Amino acid sequence: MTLRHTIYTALAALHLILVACGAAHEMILEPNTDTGYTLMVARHYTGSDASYGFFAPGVGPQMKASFLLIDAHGKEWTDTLEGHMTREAQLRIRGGVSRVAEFPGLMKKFGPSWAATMFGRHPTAKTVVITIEVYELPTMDEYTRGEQPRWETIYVEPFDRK
Amino acid sequence: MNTLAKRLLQKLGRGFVTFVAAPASPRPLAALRIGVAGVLLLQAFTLAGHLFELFGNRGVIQWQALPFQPPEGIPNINGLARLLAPLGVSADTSVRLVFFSYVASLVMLLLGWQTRVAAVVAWLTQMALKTTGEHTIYGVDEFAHIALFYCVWMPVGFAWSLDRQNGKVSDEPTALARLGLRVLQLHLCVVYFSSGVEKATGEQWWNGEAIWRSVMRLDLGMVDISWMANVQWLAMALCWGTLVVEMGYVFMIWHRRTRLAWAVATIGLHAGIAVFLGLWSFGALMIALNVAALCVPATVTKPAVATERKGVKGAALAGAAA
Repeated sequence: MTLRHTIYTALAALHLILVACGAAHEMILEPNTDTGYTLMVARHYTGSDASYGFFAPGVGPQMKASFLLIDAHGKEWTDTLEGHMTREAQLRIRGGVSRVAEFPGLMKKFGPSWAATMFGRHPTAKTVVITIEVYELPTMDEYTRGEQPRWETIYVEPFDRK
Repeated sequence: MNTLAKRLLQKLGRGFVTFVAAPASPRPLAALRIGVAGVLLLQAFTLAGHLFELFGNRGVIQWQALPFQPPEGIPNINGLARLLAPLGVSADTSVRLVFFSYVASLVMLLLGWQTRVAAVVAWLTQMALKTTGEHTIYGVDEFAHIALFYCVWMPVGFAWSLDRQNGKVSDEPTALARLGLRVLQLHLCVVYFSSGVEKATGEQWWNGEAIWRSVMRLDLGMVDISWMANVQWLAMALCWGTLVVEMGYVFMIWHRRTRLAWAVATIGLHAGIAVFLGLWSFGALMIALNVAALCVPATVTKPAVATERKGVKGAALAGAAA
């Protein structure tokens, strides 16, 4: 091998070690030092910080966000964030909603942002009520015994136009 | 004993050199470039109408409400907008600029015109979109980012490209093409093995519930499979099959006899994900990666003398496994 190819091979090997560490959810160095931070940025650029546990260890529940809008006369109507979008865009928005299950604290940031989106879309609305629901799916055994999937509300919060 | 160990080490060393440096055709990597750029262009087309909702300052998640602010040094549209604001460029224009650059670079990448420049621009702009839309990304974005990074340094434009047509590059077999192909293959081995292992730690993948729960989700399932509750062995077989395909990948792709079977199984798995879960861009991208890694021949078929490369004993290595 040429020296150049040897160097390329060594860099590739280092990259693949970092890929394997990413897959194993290993950070190697905490980013609170200069070296750790540089490594974190480098891994972000190269994609070697990714992990691949898709639908693992199990498939999480579906969640949805719906919005009840109320105008000054008490008239009510509903909307969703992604109803008008293409499937690819819908997948992204719904993925964001599902993250609330993983990180419940996110609603503090997502809630006002979603409400602002709705107020932007519906200028006459004075109040928007955000409801987050989770799709409770019975197991196959439960389903054969007659249980049906159902939506369960886990979060409701009203926002008034300021 | 020492002689035996020495011989073994020498044999291993030669095998390693063959593995990473035997000249290979750049065609598998060209397939990677074309497949990745094609899928990402189609995906960009489906996102173009919702740019500001997904990535804009006043989108579904406003920039100031982003749960994870991008670390310093990572490209993102928010940072670009701050840089361009003194020039009178609005945040929306910054979003358009990044997206247009992304799409234009993907077109160039697809055609193989100024391939290296196109790959760099596509990689950085995709990273900016991914970082800005952090709250909306899913698996396809991670793989797009990885694939575009590989397009930056691998000789992906050396075959089936305008650059090749214009005589800027040669499609002769090279050691770098071999190394690129090996990195792609090994990366996919890590992906599938770790994915399989993580799945195997969950009960859902042993009792069939994972398939049931994914296809029965209203946001994913494209067909009604409620009947599967009465055919639970099928759900279980599909789950176990997924584990076998994913965990077996690292062992089965190296031998010519098992490679084709595993390529078909893996591509079938992703086609199933695309059709039954509606994750078409994810499925198509993974198929593109696997076609490049496993299906496009990289073996040198020209006379051995043509494969001589500086420092690499091409003649001895020419017949190496693809």
